[in-house]
Amino acid sequence: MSRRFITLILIIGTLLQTALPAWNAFGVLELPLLTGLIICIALHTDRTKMLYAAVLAGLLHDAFCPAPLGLSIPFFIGLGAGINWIRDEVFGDQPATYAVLGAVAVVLEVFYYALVFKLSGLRPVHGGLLALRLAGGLMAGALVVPLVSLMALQLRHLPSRNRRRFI
Amino acid sequence: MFVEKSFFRWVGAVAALLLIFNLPGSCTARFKGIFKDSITPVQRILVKTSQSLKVGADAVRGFGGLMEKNSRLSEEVIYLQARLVQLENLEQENRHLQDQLDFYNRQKHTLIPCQVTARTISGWWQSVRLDKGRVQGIEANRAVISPDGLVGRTDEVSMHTAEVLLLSDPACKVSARVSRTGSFGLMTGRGVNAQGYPVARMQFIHKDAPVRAGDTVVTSGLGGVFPKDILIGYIENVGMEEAGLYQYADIIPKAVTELMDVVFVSADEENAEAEE
Repeated sequence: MSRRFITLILIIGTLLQTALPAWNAFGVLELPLLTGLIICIALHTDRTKMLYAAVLAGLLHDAFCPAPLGLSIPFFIGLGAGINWIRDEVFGDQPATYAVLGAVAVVLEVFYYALVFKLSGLRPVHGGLLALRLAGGLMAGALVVPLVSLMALQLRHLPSRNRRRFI
Repeated sequence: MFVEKSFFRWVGAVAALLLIFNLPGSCTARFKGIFKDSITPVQRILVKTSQSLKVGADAVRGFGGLMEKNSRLSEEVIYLQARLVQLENLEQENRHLQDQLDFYNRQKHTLIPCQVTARTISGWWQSVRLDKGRVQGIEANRAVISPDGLVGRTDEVSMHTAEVLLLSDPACKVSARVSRTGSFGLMTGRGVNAQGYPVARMQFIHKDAPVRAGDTVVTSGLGGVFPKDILIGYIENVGMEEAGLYQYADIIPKAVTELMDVVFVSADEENAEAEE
């Protein structure tokens, strides 16, 4: 994955995440497209590109919500670094791998924001909302992340396939 | 050598992160504005495409269900005859309301029509983004209104976009009044309920005020942000605060529940009116 490709898919992911409806029944849980892309990038690139992707994803995420800029970067870096660290231990191209990693990542994401918001007093966090978002996050992560990752990987192969056809 | 490179990379990342966290507010706002402004044209295309697709899908659904439509229409004729009698009564009421609307139109508020292009990327916030910004005359802390009532207030405004904090967001506070009783209170957003509907709570209502479920809540005009007498919503239920000094009322914010594609931003500052 080149840096240009990473930038492109992260921008597309951000656009879609702001355009697609959130799950109101699960405490207005957004579809975890950026999280899915970071998982995919961390499984298929080296540490430097993963770091670039995590910082860019964090900046894009915070630019499109009223949160202070930089709030999401530690989470994305932590997620990317963790997955990058275990990537030799898992089957990187299996949908089941993405589903499990996605479910865990989105649950961790919900916990991370809940903790940051609770400590900083930025948002009210109550048990009911947290439980709803955790339940939703488990499902959304398991369902959405495999789809997002597989689509990103298909997109990555698209330019080279077209090139071959024309040559 | 590899260890050194990796170490410097991580130190660089941490330094960049610290730098971002310590950026002055104006820099952060400008940075966010650049991102939002550059993506807005694409978002406009996305909104227009999704609207066209919706119209197309509705048309296709119409061709497929002609038989079903015919039987439903004959049922509707009976229903409409009953409605006609009801409407004659409403027409009279409408004339009175028209007079009130004329009065409203004579108000000095200038409203800027805006299209809702996106919602916030994170569900922790209850906000949406509009396709107009500072260039079109929108400022921060201005009332956002739809034909259904008050939607919220503008928050971060860039050159071509404006972030709107919805009434259901916990950071959105509005000085409110119960229309029937004239009781004042402070309305604060409470996110969404278990059914996924936006909710708000009006606090500090006098403990003896006879407020009840179904009462209409409007803006009081105090505070200098929201114009007076804009519909906020309806009271769902009423309770007494733990200390027993005040009542509270849970409100369904109508304009947020039925959020439209087009909303209006008040271009005027309400301070002058509030002071008067």
